[in-house]
Amino acid sequence: MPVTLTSLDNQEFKVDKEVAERSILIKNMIEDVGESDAPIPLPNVSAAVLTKVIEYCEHHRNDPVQVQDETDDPRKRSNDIEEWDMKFMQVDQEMLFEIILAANYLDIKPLLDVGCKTVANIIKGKTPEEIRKAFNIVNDFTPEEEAQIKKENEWAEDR
Amino acid sequence: MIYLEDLPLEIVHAIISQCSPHDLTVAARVCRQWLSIMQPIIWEKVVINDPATFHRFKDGNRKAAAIARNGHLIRHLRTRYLGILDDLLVTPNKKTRSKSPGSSVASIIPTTPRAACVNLECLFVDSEPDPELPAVNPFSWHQREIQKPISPSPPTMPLAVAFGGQLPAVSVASTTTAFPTGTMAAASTAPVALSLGEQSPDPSSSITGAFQSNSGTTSTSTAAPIGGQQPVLFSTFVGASLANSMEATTPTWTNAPFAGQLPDPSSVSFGAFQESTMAATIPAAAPLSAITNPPRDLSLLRREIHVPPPPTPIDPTNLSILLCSNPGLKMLTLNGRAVDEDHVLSQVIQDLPSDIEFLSIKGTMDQFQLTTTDTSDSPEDAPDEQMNRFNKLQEIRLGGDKINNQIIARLIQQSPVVETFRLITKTTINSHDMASLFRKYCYNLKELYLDNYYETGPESDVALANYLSMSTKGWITIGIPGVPVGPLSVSALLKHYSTLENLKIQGCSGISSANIQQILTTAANLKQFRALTPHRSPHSSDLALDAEDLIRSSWVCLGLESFRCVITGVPRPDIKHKMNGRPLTGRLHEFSLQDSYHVHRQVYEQLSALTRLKELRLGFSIWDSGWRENFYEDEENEGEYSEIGQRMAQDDRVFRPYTPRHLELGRQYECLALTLESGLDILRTLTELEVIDFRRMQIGYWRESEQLWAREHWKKLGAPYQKFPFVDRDYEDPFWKPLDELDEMTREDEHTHPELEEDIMHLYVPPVLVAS
Repeated sequence: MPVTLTSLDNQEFKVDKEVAERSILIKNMIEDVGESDAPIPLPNVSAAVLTKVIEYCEHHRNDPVQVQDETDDPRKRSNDIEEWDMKFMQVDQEMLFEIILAANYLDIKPLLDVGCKTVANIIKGKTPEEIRKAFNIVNDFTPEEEAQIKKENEWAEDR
Repeated sequence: MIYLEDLPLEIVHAIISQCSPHDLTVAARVCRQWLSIMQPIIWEKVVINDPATFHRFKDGNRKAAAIARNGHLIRHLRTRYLGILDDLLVTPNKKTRSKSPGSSVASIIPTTPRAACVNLECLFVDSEPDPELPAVNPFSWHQREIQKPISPSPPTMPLAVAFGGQLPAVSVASTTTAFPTGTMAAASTAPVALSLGEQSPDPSSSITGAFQSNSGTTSTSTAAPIGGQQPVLFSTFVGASLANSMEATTPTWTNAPFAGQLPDPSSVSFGAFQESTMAATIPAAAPLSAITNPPRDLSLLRREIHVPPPPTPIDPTNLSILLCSNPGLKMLTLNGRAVDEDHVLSQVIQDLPSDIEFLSIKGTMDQFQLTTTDTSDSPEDAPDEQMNRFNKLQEIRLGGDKINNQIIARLIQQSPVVETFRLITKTTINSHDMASLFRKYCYNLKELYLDNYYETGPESDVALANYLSMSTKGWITIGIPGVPVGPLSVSALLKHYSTLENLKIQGCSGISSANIQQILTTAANLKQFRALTPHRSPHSSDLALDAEDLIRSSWVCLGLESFRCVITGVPRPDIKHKMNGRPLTGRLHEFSLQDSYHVHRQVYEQLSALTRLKELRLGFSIWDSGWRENFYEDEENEGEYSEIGQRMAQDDRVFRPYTPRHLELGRQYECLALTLESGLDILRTLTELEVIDFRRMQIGYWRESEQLWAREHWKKLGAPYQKFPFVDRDYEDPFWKPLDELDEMTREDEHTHPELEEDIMHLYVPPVLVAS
């Protein structure tokens, strides 16, 4: 049975209930309201982002539900991202953050995880300057300040 | 545009939790916004447990400022070095006007230190002295060409490596030219030691290596090779081989000619190595080649002894300031010599914040000294009005030789909700008074652990019985591994049958099979029962439940999840010989097979009632704990040791001979056969089983029929530890060679380890299963 989702910009999306219920938020709403044809409003998600989110949920519709305690511990998580997910996340940074925010709002933990890992991968192994470039950030430190921060955090580098 | 900092904090944390500490420190330098995100995470948990981190933490001109800026972010501090506490205090300077008339010059005077970190929740401090050695391998010099000048940069910490021993009378010229930053010197008529060193190229401290004669009359050194309290590494030669290296400190060098002094075992404390290795350091003639041609492979030859520096009084002020400044502290662990000193211990207890939930104070213990019981003064039964009341303190762990009645009394009188008490000591505690105080002030005691409590005799039995009577509501957990138990303490223990859920009595001598049966037939709430003794000590003994006792009455502990105990006394007419081929002549080997199966079935019936059992350990392998008791020679089995070759020592640098193990020790012949014929099928009710351990038991479990049965009925059981035989070759057990059933995994290993192929063919696959 299809479910209708309405985006921030009032665009309607018809998706299978099974797909929509990858979102815990939507799943709970459906359970609370019961069977209904009324569209489900998602005022925090734009049509462009919702399109991407639905694409993700469609692809992962048959995935097993994540076990809570395994995913909560970052040490148990793998930094590896599946190939499809990696390609899916090849979007501009604005969209990447929008997807993360939407995944958080819609409570789609696997998508949130992939989004976080993607951002983390952008940070990893880079110099401050490379990170600035990647995230379009202006350096507001003086060279002395930057050197001072490096020095005072040096002890933590090899933890 | 959305930026990282616009994301909710929990998402930012989820992102950076994927990054390494290095990545975090880099990210902190991106911009001010990112700094504000990263710094709290970087500084939340400060762990300083190695010299390199220690020096990096202390290093830098801006250290004080950094601590002042970030100290409030520290929630969790863990360090081995007491000296770190100094860095967590800041001493603000205060400007004052000069009192001289007409003078406008302001002078700056330091004010009272205060803690920079005031939000600590968890503090863990060991009392090791500050590490002064460079982080580089101090022996790395030998890897260089010895005649080549040592690079003057980067500056290194002072270091000396000395070779000691009664050297022949030679004269070796100083070779400062060969060591621009160091000195090689040896001379005089009776040289006993030679040191080679390297130091900072600072010309004002040019003496970097020194020779001293043990005659005390001639010495070529003009200064101690090492200044201040910095440790010295030196090695002594015994004969032609380098026997030991150790750390010493300046006083050792300056108080007397070092080579004459250091090898004297009575002059220094060598910790756990004292007994076995120090005899080797008494100087013997060392070859001249030791001087002219130092061994290049030094790191492989040396063995280390760490000599603690001479004790200097510890000033508790900084610790006190820290404790008083952190009212939110929930966990405090203090280890080592800091808490050996009464005034420190007293001050710590005085300053404990009232919200503390977990307290562990463990001083040092003399491994070789056993003390008498119950001779110390009775504690005062009057709460210390000056102290905080610890209304949240749930667990107290106290250890060390300095723990005494007064300390314990002061604590427990202010700790009404303590549930767990762990005592790790061999000192004299007045157990009777202590028990009275616990009963009076701590109504919630549920868990008792006694470690290193090895006293024996009637007095000890009384003392243990006192400890076991401390709980008014009844113990839920009792852990007294290796503690000798007498009739009084057995009786005291059994009184808690109605509350007991966890009982750890492995190695407790004095607990009989009948006692074990009594526990299992009365303690209805028991979940864990542990009585296997794989880790031997001079005071531990084997516990076993005899089948004769076991079948006498029904167990009531039907919720048991872990059962670790030897079940013995099972008739095994199918076994006529021991591993070593000697005949087994006991009556248990003369029963008829039918009678044997009858007993088997009764035991299986008892076990089959434990339907929640997850862990069933009836056998075990002896751990190589180093205790001689594991490897005693008895006349009957003389000569039956299996040499297992060598293994890597803990420091991964030195090979030590692997202690020979006794083939027969711990082996069970009067155990359950665990065959289908004997009634194994009765155990089909144990569907929750995740781990079983039948090591060193002569069983038939590993036949194909039993394996298939187990796979069908014990579905939660994992695959056998395939790799285990390669770790512990003790399992070269020809006894069940006909049962040799190597499965595919083992055979795969066989191919990947062709050198083991021959051994594998004789391997008895260890009967240990674990959950996959």
